[in-house]
Amino acid sequence: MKTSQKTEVLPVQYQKKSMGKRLKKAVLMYKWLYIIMIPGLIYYIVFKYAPMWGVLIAFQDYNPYTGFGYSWVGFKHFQQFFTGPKFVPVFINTLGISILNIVLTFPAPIILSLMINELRMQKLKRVVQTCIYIPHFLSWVIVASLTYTIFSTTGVVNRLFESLGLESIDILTSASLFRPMIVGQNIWKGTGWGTIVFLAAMAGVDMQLYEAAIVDGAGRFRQMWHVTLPAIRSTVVIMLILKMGSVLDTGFEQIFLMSNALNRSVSETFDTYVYTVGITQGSFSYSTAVGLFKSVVAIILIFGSNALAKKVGESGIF
Amino acid sequence: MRKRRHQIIGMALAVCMLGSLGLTGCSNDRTTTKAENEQASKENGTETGERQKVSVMSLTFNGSPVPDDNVLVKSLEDYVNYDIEWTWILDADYTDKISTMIAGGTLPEIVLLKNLDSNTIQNCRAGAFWDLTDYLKDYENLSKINETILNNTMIDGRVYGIPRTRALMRDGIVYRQDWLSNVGLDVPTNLEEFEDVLRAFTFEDPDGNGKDDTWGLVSTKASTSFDEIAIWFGAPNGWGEDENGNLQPMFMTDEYFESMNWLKGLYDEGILNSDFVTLENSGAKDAFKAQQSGVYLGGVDEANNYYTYFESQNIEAPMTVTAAIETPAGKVAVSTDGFSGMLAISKEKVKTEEDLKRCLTFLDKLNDEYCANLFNYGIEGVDYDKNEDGMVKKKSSGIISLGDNDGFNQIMMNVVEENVYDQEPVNELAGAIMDVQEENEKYLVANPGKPLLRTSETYNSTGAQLDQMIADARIQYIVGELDENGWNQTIESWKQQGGAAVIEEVNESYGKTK
Repeated sequence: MKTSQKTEVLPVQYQKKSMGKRLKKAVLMYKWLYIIMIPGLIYYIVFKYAPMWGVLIAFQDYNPYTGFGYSWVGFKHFQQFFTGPKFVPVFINTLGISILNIVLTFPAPIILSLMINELRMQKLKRVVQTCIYIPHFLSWVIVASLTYTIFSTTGVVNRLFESLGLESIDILTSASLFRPMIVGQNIWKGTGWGTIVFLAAMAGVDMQLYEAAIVDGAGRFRQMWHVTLPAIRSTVVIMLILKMGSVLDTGFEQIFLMSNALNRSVSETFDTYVYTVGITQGSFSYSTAVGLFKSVVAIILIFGSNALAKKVGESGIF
Repeated sequence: MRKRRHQIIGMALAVCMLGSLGLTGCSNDRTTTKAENEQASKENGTETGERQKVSVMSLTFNGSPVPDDNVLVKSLEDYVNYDIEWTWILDADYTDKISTMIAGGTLPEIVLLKNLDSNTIQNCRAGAFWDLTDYLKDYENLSKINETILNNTMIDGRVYGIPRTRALMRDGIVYRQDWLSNVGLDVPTNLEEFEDVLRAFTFEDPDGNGKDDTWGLVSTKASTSFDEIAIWFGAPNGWGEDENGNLQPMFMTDEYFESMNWLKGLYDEGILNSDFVTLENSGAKDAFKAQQSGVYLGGVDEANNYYTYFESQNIEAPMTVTAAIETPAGKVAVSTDGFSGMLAISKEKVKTEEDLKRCLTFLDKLNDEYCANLFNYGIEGVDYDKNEDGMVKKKSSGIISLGDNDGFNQIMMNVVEENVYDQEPVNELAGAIMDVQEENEKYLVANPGKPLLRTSETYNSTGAQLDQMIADARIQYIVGELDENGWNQTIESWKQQGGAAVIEEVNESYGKTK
């Protein structure tokens, strides 16, 4: 052990020097690339990193007029949140929707991409691809109004049920149907857009692999199972890791628009809670604390799932 | 393979970026401060000599600022002899914007505070606006503000703004007269008759089209009319004294519970619209216009709008308006706060007392007879004529109702009622509406807790959640998702989550005022 340590000391110092030199050389060599990177860097510093200073108000009693004062209160707001009556229900609601989203919404674009990938008519494929992107560009307000119109007690769906002699169900005000409704909306809106990445990955699969599989006697399903899916596995893992980062992000507009007095018990999530407390009640510090907690959880999950991915043999995102 | 993987990562990141770009695109600043305004006012200044300046922030509903060369704005500036630098904010963004502007130090001198929410209260307490309590007496108009209304605007017993005064009484009941005739009922005078009308309007096909397409009572997710009904059953308006003389919130009374039972009965019977939980707040008015309901509970002047609407659609729809009916609590009517927001003076921009007085003089002048009528009716001879009794007769060709002027009169305060000319009723209905409002003033039930609630620290920090808890529970009880037990439990947890502290703090302040 000792000897190996000794032998390592010298090379590190030696490397450092050469690293600096090499870096300098690389920067000079690719200076134009570094220069075109500057606007992007500035964007991130100004709009993403500088505002993070504001996170400090989670540890203060912030008031807009007095500004960033010196009324430090430490972890008061975190304490208040974790011990408050809202923490458990809000946490459960958020997690409930998120887990359903990962289990049901996440695989949807993969399945759809596989189906589109099997289309052999290029024109049809392109038309389908373009059409399924459309829902992504509708705002949540539109999606919510559509849902209200279609599923209200006097809407098309319930009329249909009635004409078939079935009981009409009020999906919009039912607490037990709230999560399925949210997931359904997510699938409807996001699936088409989600296929972009997976289709790109599938387009990159070596055709020779398919040819080899055909020679081996593999049918369409066998090809899909043994060639396409393994080839896009790393993409799926990366997308999943990125998705883990937003586990506590259920999206504000959608939940806010679909929640009402009768489903509030399951519809109050971190995002709507932060809105109620922060904007309508003016407790900026408290809601920042809640938001900060959310971000910390997200970071832990990203690192965690990344490490997990590496453990099972994938290379993760960093 | 490795290279391809990086391409894919790049792709994924690009998609994420696109998404976040879309988000940032939406948060555009919609403030419209007018730089040209300054220039224009400078030019004016040289013409008229010593014109003073003042900057004002107000709201518009359609999002486009009132142009500076607007005739009304010009006449206003000429009369008060001030150059006004306006900042226009879209109504929907207004409340969120104030805090941002305070934090950024960009508030103009005079700011319209749309409502006294906990945000505003915190800002007033922190000293963002001038305390005007001791200055009002020096001004001709401002010294005449109605005591009750001024009291309603106070925060910790101090005045932080000039209220935009409104009638203390606006509510009443509007009926479709032809529907009443169709079902053979008279205008109700008491609660039983009122219920009969609702029932008949639901089941007896009042519009005579042979279809079951009407509701007795249409409410919305804000369920504003429910509070009024609670008061009919004897609950206090917002807050009332219990047997020990302490204030308690209305929903803790038995009478309130009784009113919920009555509403639950209506809901179960199918008289109250089944989708009220999700109906947008304009739903009650829309239903009346769409002839799905024939009763409207709320601001009785809404009948004017219905009249205009039905006339424009060529629909024969005679209406009757009535004041309070005989209820278990006698004849009662909910009092409003008597104001809708207030105009406050920012300390950030107005540093000296001298400047404060300049702003106050401006606000005082806005309440002069000339300005008050300019805001209310427009320009004499263009928008209206005065008849021999000094009453205003509006002209249909007036300019004040044009879209460009939307927002112009949002800084109207009307603190001196006598300064505003009476309006000649355009028709019988308009006359009846005024009569109803006048009669109902006799039955006013005020809310003693309203200004006190603002002194409660707990309410300011948790009020929005507490209010929502009760509102949700009431709706759940009415539709049958919660039983009496559940309702009582909700009140218990309301107390635990801060309600008890709110009651205590309100009563502490109440003790001081007694």
